[in-house]
Amino acid sequence: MAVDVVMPKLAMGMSEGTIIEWKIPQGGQVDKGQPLLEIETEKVSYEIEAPSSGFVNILVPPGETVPTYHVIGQIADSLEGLAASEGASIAPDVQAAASAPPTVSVKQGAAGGEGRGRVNASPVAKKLAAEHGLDLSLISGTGPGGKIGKEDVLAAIAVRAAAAVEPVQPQPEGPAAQNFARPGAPKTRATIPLRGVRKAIADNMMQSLASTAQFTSTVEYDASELVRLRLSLLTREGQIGFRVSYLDLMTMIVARAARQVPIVNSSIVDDEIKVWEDVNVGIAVATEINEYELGLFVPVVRDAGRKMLGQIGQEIRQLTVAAREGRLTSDQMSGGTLTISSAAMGPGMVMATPVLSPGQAMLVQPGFIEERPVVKDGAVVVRPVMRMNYTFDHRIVDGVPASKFSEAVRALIESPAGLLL
Amino acid sequence: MKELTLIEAIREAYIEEMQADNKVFMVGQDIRGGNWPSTAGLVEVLGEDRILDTPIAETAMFGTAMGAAQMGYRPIVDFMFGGFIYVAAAEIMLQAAQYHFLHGSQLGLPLVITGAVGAGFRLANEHSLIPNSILLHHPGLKVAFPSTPYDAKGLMKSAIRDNNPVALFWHMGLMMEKGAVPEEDYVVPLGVADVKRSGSDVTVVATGLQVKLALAVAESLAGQIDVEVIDLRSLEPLDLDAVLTSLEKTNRLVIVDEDVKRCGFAGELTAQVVEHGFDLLEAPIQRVCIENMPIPGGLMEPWVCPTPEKIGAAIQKVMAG
Repeated sequence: MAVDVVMPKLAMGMSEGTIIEWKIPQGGQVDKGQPLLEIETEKVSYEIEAPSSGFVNILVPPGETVPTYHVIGQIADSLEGLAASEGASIAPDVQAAASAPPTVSVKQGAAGGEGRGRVNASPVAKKLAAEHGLDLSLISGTGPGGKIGKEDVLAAIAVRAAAAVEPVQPQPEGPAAQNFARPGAPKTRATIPLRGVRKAIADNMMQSLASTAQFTSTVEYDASELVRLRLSLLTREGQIGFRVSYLDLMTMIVARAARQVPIVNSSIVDDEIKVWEDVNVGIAVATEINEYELGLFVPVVRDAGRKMLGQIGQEIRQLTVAAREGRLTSDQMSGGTLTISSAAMGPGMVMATPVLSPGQAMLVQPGFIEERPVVKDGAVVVRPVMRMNYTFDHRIVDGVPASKFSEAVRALIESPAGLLL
Repeated sequence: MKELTLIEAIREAYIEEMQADNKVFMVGQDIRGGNWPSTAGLVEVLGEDRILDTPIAETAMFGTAMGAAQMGYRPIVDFMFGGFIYVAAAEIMLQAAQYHFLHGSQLGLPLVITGAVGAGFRLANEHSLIPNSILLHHPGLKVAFPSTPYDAKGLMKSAIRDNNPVALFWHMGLMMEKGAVPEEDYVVPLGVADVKRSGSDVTVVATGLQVKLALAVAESLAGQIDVEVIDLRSLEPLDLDAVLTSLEKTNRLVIVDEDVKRCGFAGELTAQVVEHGFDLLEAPIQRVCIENMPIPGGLMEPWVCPTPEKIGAAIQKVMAG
């Protein structure tokens, strides 16, 4: 058994402390109450006593600054316990994941706490990790002493598969915390823990930008025929079962175009470019989590390249409702080969640089259709114009195929009869 | 619906059951005079041969009831205070509890043990203790413990109709508590818990007066911590499923039991949850009970007993992990 030594919170306003000196060497013996280390915070140093008797395992060296309650060392009650504590990474209780491990970093002292090399995780966290094939030693815990709780495992699951998890409530800062803020430091309006859906989105975005060569091109289309097509379909609302939207049409158009220019519908897997057979279109859906956050989920319409408009539209509606109600399953969000994101485009928005979904080579961002002056046959006329942003992964898609794709889309937008072929 | 106090609701249960079945009768000390409002004036309604006063002799009182139950009657034994059952401990916990088993499960022993229990009135240990846990320790006895007038009437009817010895005490602190009771006949079955307040962050399991305290604490935490309060209503049979179902949602448990912590019901429930629901737990289970000492009769009473502050602290502790 080992007892955690944590960076103590010595004052209400103290948020971190720096280790100045360990008074007992690594492996040395200490008695409860004996001075163990010296820390410094806000230019004042304090001597910290050992919380129990035993052998010291130092986890954070002098000079490092850590947050309060961060585990900085352990006191093992026996030499065997010390050896186990020192025994590097904790042996996981559960089988390592068969697929790629989650991209969450291991925090110092977070993955462990027990002297015998057992992972410090709650029963429900262990069970959840086992059910999802996650390696507990790779998950950072946010509970006391770095304990891995259910929330931490859920976050790891979300990182791996962007599964829906419980929304996290932001904590408004109470007056007491603000009283202790340094003068000039910005006052916090709310604090939102980076967990769950938000953390999953954050990690995915970083990973996407860090691991792909993204470029964006913006293309303008004459949407007159598309508008006419939609109006015609609106008169068939009773037969179709819903009011056809531009998202429905663009999903079908992009998917059909992707079958014509297959290189955009691919992924790099283990040093190979896999060109996928089916076009599984991810539809970005924004949902409101709380006052400060929107969640972003990307459920998938499978084989959209072959489905008819009615089926595509039904599925988009079902998936959107499920996303807003927090009911999306990981199956519904997996298998996407490219993504459509109309979530951010608003009227008047000229250009954006949307971020690719992890593992995909293309993301398409259709804009609002707005009346704009264009030149036709030497005269200025008003036409409904749609701008579309395309982000490609340059590792797979170069400028020429990218252009070929956006022109394939043009052919279908400006002459939708092509959809019948 | 009508509004009754808890003790009036129990009184109604007595009257209705005794009018429906002439095998039901009551024995107790000074029940004709009406030591408690539940029996006051009953002799006028039901007659002298149904409401029997006894000398101060618990052993004989309960022995009489046992004998009558063996002959097919359905006695209710009002001990006045739960602490007085100890005088008849052998009769209750050995003889009555064993009866069904000693007779090869062929014979039942229909009787009800009742009286007032609970701390808060500085009446010291014997007049404040709740003997539920020690009764639970003797298989063969059923135990119910209501927290509302609705539950009290419904459970008392179930207890009277049950063919086994059932202990149903009422908490003194809830005796005059008012609540809605239906006009029509109804029962609350033994062995079914009631979610008195729905929540998603933490499950607080309580009985008796502690249900009221837990609900007040839950209200005070509304907006910060979403507390689910489960009133067990019945300790034997125990609705463990209700607790486990709640834990599937919250993963955190606080048990509030107004009995001594050591070897009390809260410890038993903790063990059952760990045994059957270990994988549901995010944090160690917290118990709020009477400290391991006799209940004092003076100013020190609240120091020893569960309080809203202690319940709140336990909730914070289980939320912190």
